[in-house]
Amino acid sequence: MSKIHKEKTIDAQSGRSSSKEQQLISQAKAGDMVAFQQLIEQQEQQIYSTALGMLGHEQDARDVTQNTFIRFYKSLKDFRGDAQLSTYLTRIAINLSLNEIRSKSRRAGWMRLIGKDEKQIDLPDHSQDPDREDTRQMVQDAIRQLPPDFRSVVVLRMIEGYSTKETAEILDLPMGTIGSRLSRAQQQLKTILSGWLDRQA
Amino acid sequence: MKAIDLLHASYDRELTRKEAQFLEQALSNDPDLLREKQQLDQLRALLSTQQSSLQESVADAVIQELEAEKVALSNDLVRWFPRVAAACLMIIFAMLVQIYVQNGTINSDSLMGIQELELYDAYSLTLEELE
Repeated sequence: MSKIHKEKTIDAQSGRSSSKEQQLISQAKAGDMVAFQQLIEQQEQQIYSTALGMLGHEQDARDVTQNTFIRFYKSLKDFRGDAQLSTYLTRIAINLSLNEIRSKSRRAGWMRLIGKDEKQIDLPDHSQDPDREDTRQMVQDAIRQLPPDFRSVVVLRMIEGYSTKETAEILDLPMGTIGSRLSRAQQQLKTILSGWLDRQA
Repeated sequence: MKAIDLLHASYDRELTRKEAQFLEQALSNDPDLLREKQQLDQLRALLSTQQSSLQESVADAVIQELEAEKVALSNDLVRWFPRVAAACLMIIFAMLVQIYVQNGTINSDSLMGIQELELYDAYSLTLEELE
């Protein structure tokens, strides 16, 4: 069985960030904004991809990515480097994404209450449409139908390629819970994407 | 462990030789399990290609936002300091007015709250006690 592998700038022995990254972090802590900008440029792709997987909306993902780094900067002096920088930032991004999902859900509920429905958050299931060509949109629609807790596991484990251990560390959950949620999420995705899967068969 | 659980576990860790053999046998005997594996493989392959790329860096926007927050904080301090200082002065003035109304004067004694003493209050011991 093949495993998803992810290349990261890690020290093989300690699992910490590379020495270059640690140097940039030290410089950023000392107030070097050029060093902080370099850190952003190294990590932003991964953070954006994670946020987009969670939110399914480019501008929202971009906002979460920006806020992730702003929040990181403000907590920079407390960052000890015990965890990899990518793990730390991804955790922030996931939390901000979950906050955004809850916020949108509350807004949608309030709008329904006062009789002004917004555009549905839960998009119609297009997986049964044999003519659907936009695979990426199809996958985003499917993921957005998952509960937020399942969504985060799917995004981290199956899209971003983090191991079960790394996913558990990011989400601060036991590995058994990650496995359980992933299994249930996969079953839901299979149901949502059954049309596409049948076509592949 | 059931074959289906082993199948799911196989995506997260290396199976032992015994587990791998058990799973392989189960897959060859159970078409439903085999179909489950094929669908999971397809699903995982589909999702593994869904990473998105950022078209425009957010670095500049982040730096600008942080700089703007610094300026805003500095402006807030500059804006609020005179108001806080004026409020403190007014409080001190009100306290002085109260002291004047109570004591009829503003001197060191009235500011410290020392009242006028009777002469005998100044003595802590009588001559008899001293003897």
